[in-house]
Amino acid sequence: MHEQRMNDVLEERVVQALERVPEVRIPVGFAARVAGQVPERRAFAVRPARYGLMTMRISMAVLVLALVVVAMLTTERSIYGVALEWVLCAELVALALWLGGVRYFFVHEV
Amino acid sequence: MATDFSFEEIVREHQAMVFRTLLRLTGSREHVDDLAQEVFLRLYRALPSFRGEALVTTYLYRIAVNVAQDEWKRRRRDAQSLVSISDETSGWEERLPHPGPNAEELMEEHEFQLAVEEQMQRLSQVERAVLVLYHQEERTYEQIALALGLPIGTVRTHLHRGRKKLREGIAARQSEGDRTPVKEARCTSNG
Repeated sequence: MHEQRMNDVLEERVVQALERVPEVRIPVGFAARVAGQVPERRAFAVRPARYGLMTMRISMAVLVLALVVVAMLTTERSIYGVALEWVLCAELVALALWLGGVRYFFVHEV
Repeated sequence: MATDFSFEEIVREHQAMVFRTLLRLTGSREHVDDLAQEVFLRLYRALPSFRGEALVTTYLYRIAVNVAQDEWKRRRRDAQSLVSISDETSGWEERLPHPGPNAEELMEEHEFQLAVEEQMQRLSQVERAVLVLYHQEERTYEQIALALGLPIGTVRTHLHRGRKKLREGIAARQSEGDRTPVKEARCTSNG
């Protein structure tokens, strides 16, 4: 019992010692000195993205050609032919939209 | 530049917290300025990935603990002896107004504080970090868990284990009769 009380008293003193905040001595101008050491942030500018522009143009030309070939070959209007035409058309439309304006919403660093 | 000016504000707002946390974690005032600077520079580098999911203080505590751990590793490598932050109260005896019962109590309290800090350096780095964040910085279990990347249960375990080790270490020291008067303590220095 006595030992338990001694432990409790010691625990309380330990906690008080832990809660005691040490005195800090911060050098004058510390914040300014640290801030002066960080690198300058690079300026940002908005400009159009140019991701593989030539590749997209070539892809569009190939798609158009593919559509023409598919149209010539699939005279019977089979389901596979129609599906293929739709897929190629969708890809063409997507590329056209991308080249047309969507890519202008991207931002690059100078 | 606007960005640098706002970062200076962040430093000014949190510098006291960083300094006192590093003091307790490292147990020494040695290189604290440099360590604190390192903490803020690491914060600056981490700012681009800062998504506001946690407070800046949470980041700072995490970085401070990591910097303190790096300092410990460096000291072990260099085998430097530690100077306790409480040892650097040169002339504290002169601050005592008059010799008497109050002075004796103050002396005993000072020695007890020294003993606690000495035992703190014997704890594991995680236990020390949890004790500092909980008692000195008054963080909650959840905040400590977030700062250290630990489950809350683990934080509680480290807290209780750390306090138990401190208590046992100090009790063992007291029972071995290490409490010497101030004169003798000064003579033995760090021996």
